[in-house]
Amino acid sequence: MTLPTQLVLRALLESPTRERYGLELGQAAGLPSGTIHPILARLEAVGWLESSWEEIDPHVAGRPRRRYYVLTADGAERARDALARAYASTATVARLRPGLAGGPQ
Amino acid sequence: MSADLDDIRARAHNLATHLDLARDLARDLAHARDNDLVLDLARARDLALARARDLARVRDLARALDLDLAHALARALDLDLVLARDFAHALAHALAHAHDLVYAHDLARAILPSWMPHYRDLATMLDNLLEVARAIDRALGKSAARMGEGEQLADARSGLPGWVCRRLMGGAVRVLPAVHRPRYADEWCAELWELGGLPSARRHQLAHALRVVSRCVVLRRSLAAPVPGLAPRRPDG
Repeated sequence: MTLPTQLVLRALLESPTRERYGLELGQAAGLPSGTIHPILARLEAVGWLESSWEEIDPHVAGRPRRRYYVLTADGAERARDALARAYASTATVARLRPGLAGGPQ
Repeated sequence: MSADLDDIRARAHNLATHLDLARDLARDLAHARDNDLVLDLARARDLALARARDLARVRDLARALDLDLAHALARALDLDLVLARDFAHALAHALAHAHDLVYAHDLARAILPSWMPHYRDLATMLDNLLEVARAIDRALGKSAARMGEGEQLADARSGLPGWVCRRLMGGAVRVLPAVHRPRYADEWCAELWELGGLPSARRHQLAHALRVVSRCVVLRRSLAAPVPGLAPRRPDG
């Protein structure tokens, strides 16, 4: 599992039932905007995520509708397992992102 | 005494004979000299006439050559002008193609952080990028007033996503499988709108659009991958 995927899963698991849109998720994961969609597509393809359009009228709201993502129940469980396995070898993560492994920022 | 007289007579006779010979010789010489002079004069006259004719020919030839050279030079200059004009056109076309290629190359470099194994995807992507580059070029020729056109909701906001961002997004959307294009077009449009509220919105929007373009091939692979059964419950390697 790649480090960006771990960052996204970590951001999703902070509040597994909360729906968030792609830009918001990317900011929470600390990823540059525009780079998160391939990760979200893979997670959605394997069933860990589900997405839906925001239920607003864009003309009334004055903005485009967002695409919201949320972990599925099964996906949340599997994401935790996957992160636990990944954190078993935290040396790499600690080297790349010290804050994730509890090290100095 | 008589012997001396005989001797003198003989000598005088010899002298007269020699004088006759000398006179004859002198006459012959004079005659020969006169003939040679006439011949020389005749030859000189012939040579002068021949030289005059040659000069006339040379003059005519020179005039003809001048005219021919002038015509040849004019034709050469005309040809050079035509060639220069054709070269200028060819150069303009080459510059236009080079411009497109530079655009495509820059965008391809942004899109290909690692080598893509599927060259068919690469060809499709390059075609799309060229289309984007041409669209950008066309858009460059339009007035800035066009930026206010369009019915997208993002335009109603202060941080409008510029047409460059929209073009980039459009190109990235075209790389995706057709069934996913409407979804990501709307999703990315919404994200551009969100970024429009930030300080230096245009810069953020452009950076966002470039990152989306740089990841669109990866997203295409993610969307096209037959996940069920092949990679059960593993989002990535």
